[in-house]
Amino acid sequence: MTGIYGPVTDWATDIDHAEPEYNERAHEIWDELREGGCPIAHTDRYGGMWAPITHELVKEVAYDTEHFTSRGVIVNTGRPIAEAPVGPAPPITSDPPFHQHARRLLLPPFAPKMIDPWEPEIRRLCNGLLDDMGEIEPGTSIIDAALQYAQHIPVNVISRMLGFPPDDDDYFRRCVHEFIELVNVPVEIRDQSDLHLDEYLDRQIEEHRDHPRDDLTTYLLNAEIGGNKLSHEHVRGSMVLLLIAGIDTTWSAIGSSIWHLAQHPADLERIVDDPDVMLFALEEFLRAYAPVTMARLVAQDHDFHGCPMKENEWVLLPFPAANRDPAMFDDAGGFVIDREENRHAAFGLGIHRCLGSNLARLELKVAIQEFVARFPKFELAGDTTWSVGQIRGPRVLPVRVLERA
Amino acid sequence: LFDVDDYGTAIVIGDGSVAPELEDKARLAVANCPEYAITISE
Repeated sequence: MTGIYGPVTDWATDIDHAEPEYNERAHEIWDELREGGCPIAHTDRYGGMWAPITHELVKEVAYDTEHFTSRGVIVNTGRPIAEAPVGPAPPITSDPPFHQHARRLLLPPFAPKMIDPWEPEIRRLCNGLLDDMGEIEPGTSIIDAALQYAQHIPVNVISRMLGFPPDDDDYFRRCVHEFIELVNVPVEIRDQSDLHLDEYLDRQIEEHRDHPRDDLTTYLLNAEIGGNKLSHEHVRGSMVLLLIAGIDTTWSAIGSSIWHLAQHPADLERIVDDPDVMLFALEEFLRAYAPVTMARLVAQDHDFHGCPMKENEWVLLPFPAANRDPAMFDDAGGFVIDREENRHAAFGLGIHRCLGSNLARLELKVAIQEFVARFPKFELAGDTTWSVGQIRGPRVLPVRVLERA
Repeated sequence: LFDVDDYGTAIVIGDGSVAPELEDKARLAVANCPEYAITISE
């Protein structure tokens, strides 16, 4: 299925993040917009969309929950049906004051003391994937670091945390593809999806009601707001959120990090020789290759720095562009592996900041550590295919192994 | 220097005084707090 809008010729007046060229050339496009004096791009596509690209403006929108609603967070040709303040996937689609209740109940299971114990399991998972690559002949063997490695790690962990069956990872990746990548198609096409995720989740909820166990689904079924159990739609919506947000985001971060190391032997060598640098390298991977762009809908007509924003138009929140803003970071376009001051926005800004960041950091750290421990030297071995849409990362990433531990 | 509560919120341990060997780490915390919520007084 191809998009309905077609290629972009002017990114300032007709930006489209779901055209393949956008993620392929994202860093250049943001530089061109900045150098062209355009801090807020626009398009008539999607029923109207604005895209601020500086750190200051992205932050301003993210903090302003009065003029910008989270009712819709994935730009597409339609508009969300579920109403604020809950929205279809609470708390990410919720507005204040409901938002804080939906968020607070999800914080404890993602706090460090609940996430840290997963580390050995994630290491085993990574090593299992590396083992499955079979015989590796240094200098000739080519592996796909996205298809054979990165894409399997987060989906496996989050589906286990939710207590889902072990063999449905392909199905979840198809859901992510339809939700996040197939956005510039007619609404009717999106509505014709044969994935039926709601029905899948209803079956999981039913099964967990009958057989409660120690996982996130049971946790949500037992959770309360103000002494009341959550509605079925709230439970299911939060499961959608955890599943979708927990898959292609970290998968993309792992892939982009390996993509960088495959082209920067000095950075790879530093990580191999000086493991302590990971504390800073991890944050620099997140800054330089932040995978997640969020979105808002304009809540009511208003003027935003001279832009006449209309109710129900989209506003893109490209945190990855904010992370490369020279006004915010020294050497913003470079990669400084031991950057000590790094207030990046990879996990978002404001009340919707990623609540899974402890898990994401752990998965990214372990995935890189185990990959470079097994393959201390590697290089790009062909063309990378990038995702399309709001989550940016390699989907095909051929890498030639030059040294095997 | 910091502990993390059940909700993942960082809290200062004790009265906030920093041992000399932890001063570098305290400065790192100041330089990286996303909400600019940490300050050092000397």
